[in-house]
Amino acid sequence: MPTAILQLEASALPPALDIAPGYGHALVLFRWHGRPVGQSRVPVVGGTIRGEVLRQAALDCAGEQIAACRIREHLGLGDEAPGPAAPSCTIAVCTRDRPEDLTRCLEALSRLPDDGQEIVVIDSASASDATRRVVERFPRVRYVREERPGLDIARNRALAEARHEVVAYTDDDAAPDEGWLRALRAGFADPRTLCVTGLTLPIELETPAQEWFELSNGFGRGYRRIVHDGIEADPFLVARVGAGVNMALRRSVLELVGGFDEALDAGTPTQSGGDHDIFTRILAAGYCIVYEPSALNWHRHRREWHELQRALYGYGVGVYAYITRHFLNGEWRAPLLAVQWLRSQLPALVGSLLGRPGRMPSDLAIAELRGCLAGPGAYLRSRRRLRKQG
Amino acid sequence: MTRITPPRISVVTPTHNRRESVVRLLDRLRDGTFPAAQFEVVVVADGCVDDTLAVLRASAYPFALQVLEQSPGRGAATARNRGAAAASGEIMIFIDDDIEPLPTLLEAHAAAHAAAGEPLVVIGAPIPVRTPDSDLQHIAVWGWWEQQFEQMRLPGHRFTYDQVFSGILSMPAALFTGVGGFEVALNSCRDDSELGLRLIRAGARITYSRAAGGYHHEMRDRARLILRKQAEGKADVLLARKYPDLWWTLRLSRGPGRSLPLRFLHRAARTMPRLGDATAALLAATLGPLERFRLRNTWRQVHAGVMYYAYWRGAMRALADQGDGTAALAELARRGDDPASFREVKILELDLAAGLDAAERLLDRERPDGARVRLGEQWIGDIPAQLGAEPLRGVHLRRQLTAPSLGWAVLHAEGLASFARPAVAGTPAGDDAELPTEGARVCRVAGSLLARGKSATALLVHLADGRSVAEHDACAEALFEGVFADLARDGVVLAARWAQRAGSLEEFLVALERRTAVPGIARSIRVGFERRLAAVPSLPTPLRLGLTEALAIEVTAPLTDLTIGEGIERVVARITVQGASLGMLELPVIDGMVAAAVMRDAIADRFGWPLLGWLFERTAYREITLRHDAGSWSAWRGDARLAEGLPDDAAERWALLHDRIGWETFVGLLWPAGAEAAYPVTPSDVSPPWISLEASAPLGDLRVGVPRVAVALHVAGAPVVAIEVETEEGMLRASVLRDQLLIAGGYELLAVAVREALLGQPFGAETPMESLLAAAVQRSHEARDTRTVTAYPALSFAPGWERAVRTAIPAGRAAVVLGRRALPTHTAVARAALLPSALREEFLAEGIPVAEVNGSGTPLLGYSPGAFVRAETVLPAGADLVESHGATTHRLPILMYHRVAPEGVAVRDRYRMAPARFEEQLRYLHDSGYRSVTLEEWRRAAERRRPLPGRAVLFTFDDGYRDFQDQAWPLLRRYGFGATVFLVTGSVGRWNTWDESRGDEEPLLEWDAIRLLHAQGVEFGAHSVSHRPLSLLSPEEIAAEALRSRLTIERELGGRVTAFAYPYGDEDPVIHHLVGAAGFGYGLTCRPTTADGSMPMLVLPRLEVRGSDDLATFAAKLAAP
Repeated sequence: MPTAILQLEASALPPALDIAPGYGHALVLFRWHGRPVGQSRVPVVGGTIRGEVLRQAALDCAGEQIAACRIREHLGLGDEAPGPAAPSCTIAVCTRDRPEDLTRCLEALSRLPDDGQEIVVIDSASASDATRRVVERFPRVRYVREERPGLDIARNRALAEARHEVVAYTDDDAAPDEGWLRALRAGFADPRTLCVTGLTLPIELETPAQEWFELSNGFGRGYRRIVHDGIEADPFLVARVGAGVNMALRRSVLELVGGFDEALDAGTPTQSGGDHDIFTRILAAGYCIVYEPSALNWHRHRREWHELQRALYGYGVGVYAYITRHFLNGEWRAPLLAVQWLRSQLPALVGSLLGRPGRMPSDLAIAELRGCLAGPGAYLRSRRRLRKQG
Repeated sequence: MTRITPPRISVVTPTHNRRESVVRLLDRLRDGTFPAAQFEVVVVADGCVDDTLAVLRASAYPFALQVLEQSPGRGAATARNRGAAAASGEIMIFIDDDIEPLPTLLEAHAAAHAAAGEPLVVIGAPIPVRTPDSDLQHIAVWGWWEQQFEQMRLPGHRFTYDQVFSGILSMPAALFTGVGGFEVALNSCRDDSELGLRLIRAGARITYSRAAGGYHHEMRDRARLILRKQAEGKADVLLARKYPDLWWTLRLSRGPGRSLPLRFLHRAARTMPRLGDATAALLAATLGPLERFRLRNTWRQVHAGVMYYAYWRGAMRALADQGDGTAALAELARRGDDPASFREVKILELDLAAGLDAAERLLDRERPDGARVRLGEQWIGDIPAQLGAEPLRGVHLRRQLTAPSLGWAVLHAEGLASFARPAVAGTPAGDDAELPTEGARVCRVAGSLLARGKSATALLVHLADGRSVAEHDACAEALFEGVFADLARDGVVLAARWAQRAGSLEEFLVALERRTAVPGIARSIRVGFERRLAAVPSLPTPLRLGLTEALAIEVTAPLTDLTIGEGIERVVARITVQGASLGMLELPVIDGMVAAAVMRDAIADRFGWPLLGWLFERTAYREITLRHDAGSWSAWRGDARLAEGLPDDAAERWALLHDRIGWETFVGLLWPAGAEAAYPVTPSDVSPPWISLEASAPLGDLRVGVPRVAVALHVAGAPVVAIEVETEEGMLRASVLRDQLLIAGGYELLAVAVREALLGQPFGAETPMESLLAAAVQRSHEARDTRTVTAYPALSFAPGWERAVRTAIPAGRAAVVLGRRALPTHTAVARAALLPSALREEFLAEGIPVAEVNGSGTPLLGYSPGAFVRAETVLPAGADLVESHGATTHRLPILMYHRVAPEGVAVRDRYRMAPARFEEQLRYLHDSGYRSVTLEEWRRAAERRRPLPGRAVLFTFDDGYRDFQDQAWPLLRRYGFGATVFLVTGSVGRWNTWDESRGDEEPLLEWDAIRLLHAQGVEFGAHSVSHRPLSLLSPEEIAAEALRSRLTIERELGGRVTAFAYPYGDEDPVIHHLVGAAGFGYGLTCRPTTADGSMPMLVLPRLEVRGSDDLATFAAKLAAP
């Protein structure tokens, strides 16, 4: 049964909640005075969720965050709103042939409070002009056409086109929350912070494919602010840092660690991995990445099973392409990483293949594994192709 | 260049052979936003051999420039002091020559000082310059600086002395001269920290600004960095010598920890510098290749090791200049720990009740080193005094309060935690109503932190010492409340939370024990916590809760021996009858088991009365009708009114009715009235001859043919009591015998009847008691236990003892079983028990009455109160009432004294009664007609539910101080009072060393004196072997403490020891059980009330008479209930 997605204000929980028929569970996002503080998967019984259940769920998953908010409120410290020194921002949406998703994304972006931000759509070699026509309906949005396909190429183009100090990226199949941009900007308080990532939740969990995606590759990284400090952190532990669907970079990243690797990510044989690669390089150079859960973005996961299979295959390719890239760049630890990663996945994989309950269906596991094997070759091909073009 | 007014700002820059840098600095200052007319620059060339001097002297800047020369080089500190002396500005800004100032630097400093209105120290950020080719070492150094700035920039940051960096530093010239400038002895390393310390202690405010900073072109040379680390080591030694109280802030104070390589380097720096130097050089050489292959983690470790060694090498070199370096280090550590070397810290009582703003103003005014935070009466937590940190100011407060420990407490205190505490029926309302001790308050807050999966060990800093947790049980209660505050009292929910948090709870308690240095405190609090959890209704059972197993025992289901898993010390069982809860029972686990016999006996003792009520309500009471008239309930059987004035509540009504008529009903069922004809019985041929009677059989007049017999009474074969009676010419009259047996048997008769007839039997609600008893008799005949039992030494046990011994021991097991010799036979005080089998040999060695059961396995050690030796002489009914004209005593005051002495140390005044005052009390008691009684007298009266004749009082003296003989006893004798003295057997003849923490040592009685006193009529009881709080000990240790102390006194005095005083008044049900099993009949607690007849003899209360009590207080204590 599909899962309903709900948002509730924890300071004013309803006595009971009626859920539309057909949902067995609800994924509830709890907010405290607007700020996301926790999430919980709550069973729907007889079309409703009882108030006491909601309350207990809120306590269990968000009690601590709420208390922290209350302490700050009580002390008059307010939220960490971006101060006057917070950097100004350009929002970049890199898109390719997804006019419907893009429309929803731009509508969400139009609802953000106006702090003088600029919105740029990078049209990454779309086949039709539908993308351009969508953008034309939003007068505040700037349209930039990038003829060379590739997500990282589009991301670099955004860095080049941006007029502000920080570039906030969102995917076209996502719809940022109202507080998203402000939270990202507030994350840049320290000069050593080159990147801020945020919390990403599913817009809908209607199909098994979406449920499995959320379960296996969900973007949520918890509700606590985390500073990944490159001075201490292992630069290769980037899965917990965040994902490209919800991240902002200081443009100085270009000079300090270089831009995105154009041989990586969607639109190239490597299919993904561009975000992880830049996270790694930022941390390796001793800079910081801040995970800021208040920066909430809603993502529409792939609905169809075959899309999910392809996506997981793509992740497999991306991870190993990314490892290959760093090996070629002289990171002697890279092969070790490949082994470690595989080993960490192994129990889940075996579980899937044996059809153990609660494990990922075996076809998904196999798709991801196949991707891994294809990764190194894909990276080499992609780089060769890039050289030919360049 | 001439000027009319001196410039407001003087920049002082020391330089050494860096012409290009210093020119860049001057150029940037010229190009900055601050007007050139308002500042001057003083460059002190310190031993420059390049062309710095010439170039500067030839240059032309729009601001005033002085160039001073210092030759030969004497270090930057001297140069700065010299430059400052030559400068004329009101504000002094020190800028190092490798700084490239931001354009805003001077303006930012000037603005900060202008706005301050008080002496201010401004630290400008020396921002290290990063380039894409920075290597790992440079990144590490740069990162260290940026991490410092990230902390310092946060509002409310409390600066420490070592965050004062002289790279860019400004302050009023007067302040700089006032504190005496830089310390030149430190030779330019950490001289800024040292200055920072003096500035902080002079009361200056420290601020930080990035805009007031500049780019720092740092050295990237590894060799230079190593030299720098060595210099830091040396500087820290100098700092530690000059300021012993900074010791714990210095890296010197930190050992290498557990890392083996660091331990090696640490040792090498101390004792084998040549090996160390070579190793460090080798390690340094690997850094390049490690970096090339980007083996970052290894590089970090090796780099840290190299720097660690350099620091310690420098430090040891400085330490060794006065001889043995290691000894010098130890001396520094000693001084760092010596409170005499500490500055006095000012701790402020900070009450948040008037609002945060007022609290901030108070902090601004007082500037204390630390604060105790309160909200009205309630203590919330502490902001600790921090070594080498700024005094607290208002701006620090809110930041400090966001720390989880304080923040949570504030929320609770302000009642803001209401969201985290849903209003559920059964949850107590108010937050932390009354928490008696500091320890309990800490535990309460710790509980709510643990409940949320946070660590609470940080809270422990609030505990001063062991005394703050003296109330273990209050701590356990508070912790329990804290952990479950937000949950409904539902067993399933609570068990889930417990399973989740047990680990962190244990961690917290271990840390608490370490912090308070009270051995066993973790166990005691843990047990108290588990006891509370186990008592929660609807807890899924059986459930292991740490040291406790929570059980449910249904009395109508068969009771079997329970084998309990390893590590569990006690069971806490909910006792139910057909699902209805009777209450909780707590028993120790001995040798991995809880024997069925022990459980049965304990249940019968604790719950026999209500259980019988439950049965009677469904059988014997059914013909009773209840009438409601004239606003009150009364009970009738036919036309006879049995009771009146019963309450409205149905359950209460039945309970009260049972209390009034239950005993008669029980006796009526046991021995129906209407005596049968006399019949002869044959007594056994011992002296006096024994005859035994079965209680459930009809009782008639007995013809025994001898003048004196001992009569043993059984219920279903189980011995209850034995009495010695005179016959009337060979006849025993049924009515007389019946009365005497009832008097002697008392409640025990009922307990044994319930135990034998009801417990473990599937009795239905309809089964009358008579048939249950008949079935029990039948069972006792059918019982097949083939184990042989032998008495040792040859003893005359009362008839039926073999059965009593067998049934006390789990089926088939071998055992040594203790019987009763000394103890009165028919008290309800000593129940069936198992004792740790490890104590077996000690018992056997004492030659006290034992029986051996042959069976399998390691012999157990059991105690069967049903195996007794002696028959009692029963006074004729009413005999003890002869004297009872006038006043009688229903409630007995048992007085507790410690010392009676004319002088002693003040901290122990509570425990010392001045002889004059003591005599005053005795005279008062004497004149008011009091007489002193013994525990034995009290027991007899209590069991018969009779008051004691006259006004009775009982004196007890704890610990056995020597002054009892010199001071207390002569006075007691003069007024005709007796006393019981409780001895700590491990310390007899020595000192009260268990009280070390309370200040002085006082001498204790020796055995010779004790024997003399004993001969003079003083009674002696045991006060354990070591005077440790018993709840801190395991069941084995408790049993050993009780048993050994009893055996020692019995050996020395030759008499019987029946009374035990719990050390510190620390007791719980398991302790009562084990002390009873160790052979004691009386347990004296410190529960401050008078004793009434219904109190168990192992839990007798006592009134403490304190040294400070005047006669009025004393009299009031006697009169209180």
